[in-house]
Amino acid sequence: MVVEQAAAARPWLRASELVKTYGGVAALSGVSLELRLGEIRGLVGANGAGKSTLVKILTGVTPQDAGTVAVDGRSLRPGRPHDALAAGIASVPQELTVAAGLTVAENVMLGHEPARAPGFLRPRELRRRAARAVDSLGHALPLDEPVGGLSLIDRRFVMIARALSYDTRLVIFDEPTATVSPREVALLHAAIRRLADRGVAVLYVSHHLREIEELCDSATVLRDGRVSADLERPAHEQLVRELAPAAEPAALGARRRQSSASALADEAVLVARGVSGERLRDVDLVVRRGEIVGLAGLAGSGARELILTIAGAVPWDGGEIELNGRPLRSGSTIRSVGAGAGLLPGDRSLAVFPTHTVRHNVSLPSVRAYATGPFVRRDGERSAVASLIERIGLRSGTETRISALSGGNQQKAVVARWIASGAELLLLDDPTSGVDVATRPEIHAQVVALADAGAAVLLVSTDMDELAELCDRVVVFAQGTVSHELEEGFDAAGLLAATTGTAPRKGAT
Amino acid sequence: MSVSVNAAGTDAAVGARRKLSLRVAAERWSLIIAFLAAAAIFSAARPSTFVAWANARAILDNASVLCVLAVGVTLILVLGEFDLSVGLVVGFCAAAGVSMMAFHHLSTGVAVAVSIGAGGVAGLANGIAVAYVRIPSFIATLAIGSIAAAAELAITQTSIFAGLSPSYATIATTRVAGLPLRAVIAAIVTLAFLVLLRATVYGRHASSIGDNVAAARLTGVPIERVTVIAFVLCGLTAGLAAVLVTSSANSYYPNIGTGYLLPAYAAAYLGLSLGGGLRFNVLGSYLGVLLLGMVTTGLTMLNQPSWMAALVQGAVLLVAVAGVAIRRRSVLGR
Repeated sequence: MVVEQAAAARPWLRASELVKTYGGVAALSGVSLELRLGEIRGLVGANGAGKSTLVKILTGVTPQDAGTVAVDGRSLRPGRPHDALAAGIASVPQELTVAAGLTVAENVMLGHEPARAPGFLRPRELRRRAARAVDSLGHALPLDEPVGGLSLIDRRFVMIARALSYDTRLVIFDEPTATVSPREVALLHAAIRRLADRGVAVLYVSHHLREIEELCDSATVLRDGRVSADLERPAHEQLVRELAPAAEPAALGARRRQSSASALADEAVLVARGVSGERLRDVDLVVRRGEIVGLAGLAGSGARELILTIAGAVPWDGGEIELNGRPLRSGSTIRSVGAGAGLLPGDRSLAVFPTHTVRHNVSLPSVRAYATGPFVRRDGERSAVASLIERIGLRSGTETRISALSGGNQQKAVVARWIASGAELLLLDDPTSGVDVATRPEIHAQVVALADAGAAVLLVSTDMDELAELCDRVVVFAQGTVSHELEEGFDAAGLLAATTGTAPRKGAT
Repeated sequence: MSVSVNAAGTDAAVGARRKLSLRVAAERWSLIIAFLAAAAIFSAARPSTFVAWANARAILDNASVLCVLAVGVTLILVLGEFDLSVGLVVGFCAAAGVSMMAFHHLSTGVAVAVSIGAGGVAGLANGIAVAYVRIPSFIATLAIGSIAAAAELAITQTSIFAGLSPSYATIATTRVAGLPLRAVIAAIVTLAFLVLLRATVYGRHASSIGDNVAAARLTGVPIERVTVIAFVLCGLTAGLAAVLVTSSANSYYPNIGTGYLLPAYAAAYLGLSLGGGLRFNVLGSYLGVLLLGMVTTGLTMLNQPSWMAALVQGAVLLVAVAGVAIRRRSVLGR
């Protein structure tokens, strides 16, 4: 124990003056970082600030051009992922990379299964080692069940257990809460704290500044490939100051509620009556023109399922949904888009056509507007898209391949897509989960502008601040049905209480 | 890439960018470069025979069957699917068309229409199996190809037909402005598919599906309809290819369509480089076919053994696909 404490005093990992350029563009220009065992350090920065490049260098995925990464005073060879793992550096990527058909134990030990000489598996040893990794996590998982039957959050815990199944001293978490509900965030954070208490260092990469404040002992702020601040006990306000060139106007939500009070007509855009499906029970909802309605709830509560159902991505089997007076068909995205729905998923891989131009990405659902018969008039299309992306502040050419843009800008292009198509019901599914703090208010401003122009907006978010800022009212879901309806004067704390079930239920008052 | 950042980095950066863009350009034009290089090599080796209008004409004429097929296959590849039935469907269509003349003594026009129509039917079967029954295209088209092959032999009773009809043979002997009709047809089909993919709403939908099918569905693209239409069009090209094959020798032999599948895909993959290594494109496939045809002809003129053509084609394809895979990884990070 004495040894442990002595070790904790000096840095276990020391990265000095890391430099990395891609095709002449500097991603990192002299970044240094130190981590002690048992420390939880946040890593924050706008998209493109160099966070992922730094993580890739630490894990040996990408070799640095200059600078060193040293563990316990020994330098690691650049660009050797196996060396990094052997030294005790493991990472939990943002995407869920589990094999659904294999058991929890098999997933935990994936890639370094214990085997005897010619390559025969040792199943008992595999299970024993997996059990040890899951134990150290402090979150119970059914070792022999296939991962396919687990909830999303348990799948994430499987990935963390996998990182721990190596002799791990540093775990790097990359946006671990991107698609996780608030209650589950608490579970995840509890597990991370337990790891730190056991003397494991943690590097926590996130856009969620509140989480950094709650969880982290220290934080490194990156800006344009340099360390712009090293903070001890980082506070939320401090982080916002360091990161955001222009903080989000706090009055946005208030202004919204006023403008809708003046009411753009009481015309209902969306009417859902008694909608039931695999994850929905008898849901009624009316959304009017110019209204921003939030849907809150834990994962699986029905909030997200409802907008996917309206979008036509998920089938339903009872009740009816009308959009602009046109009945929607279960599981038909064609009908939903045709009736005026537009889905903006937070997960860009569900929205972006990576090998195509910005023009193609923006104009796809509205391309007939620029067509004479079957032929697209490209000049008209180009100038329409050009003026649209300029209006929403997307600084890019129309002919640029969209995968060359930052994540936030790709998200803006998807917003532009539904402006171009004249969508009258915007379905936002955690729209800013993968977006940096600078782009977030820009996207919020666009959503408000669309609502002011007469669109109805449904917003599902795991971010209570986002719901409180933007929404005219919030409908809270639990177990597939509406549990609360919050009309006005709600705040993030009240929303959290309602979604986690600590506030009295609808009808109970 | 070891560009120093602190030391007056601008010149180095500009130099690096130029070097990079030169490399990108070289990759993008690699098909054209290979084309010109092959032409130069064969011209130098056989100046009198290779560099001749008659030879160019022959290459274009011989390549016409494969051109039509490769262009149809390209549409399927753009969608992100496979059609492995094309070669066998050519045989089926040839049998259907030829039987009209041989067994029923019907006119050339009917034979051509039946042949192309048979391709459309096979394509429709493929399209429904893939789009509505949701069988993976790889296995669905393999199965339907096998059925088409059986139908071919059932129709023709595994016999050879020669001297089909004098008027049918004129399809292959007619010249238009000095060019063989078959080459002109191939060029027109290529042009039509080029316009379809580049300038129409349908083309937008098709290439969106191939790029990200989940996003295409959520954006309201009618995936099933677009897929069925693509397979039907690909089947029609196979029917047309059957007409071009059987008219050239004015004859039919069993399993006439085998041997077209690999070169059609090879040409499409060669053509990928013209789309920046990311997108299949009709023009690239067309040039890919001509490159393969030229190499085959050139090697024959150099008195190389016949297996040499297959060896060179395989090697060229492997190099092209490897280059594409590397480029794709660097652009999209996959």
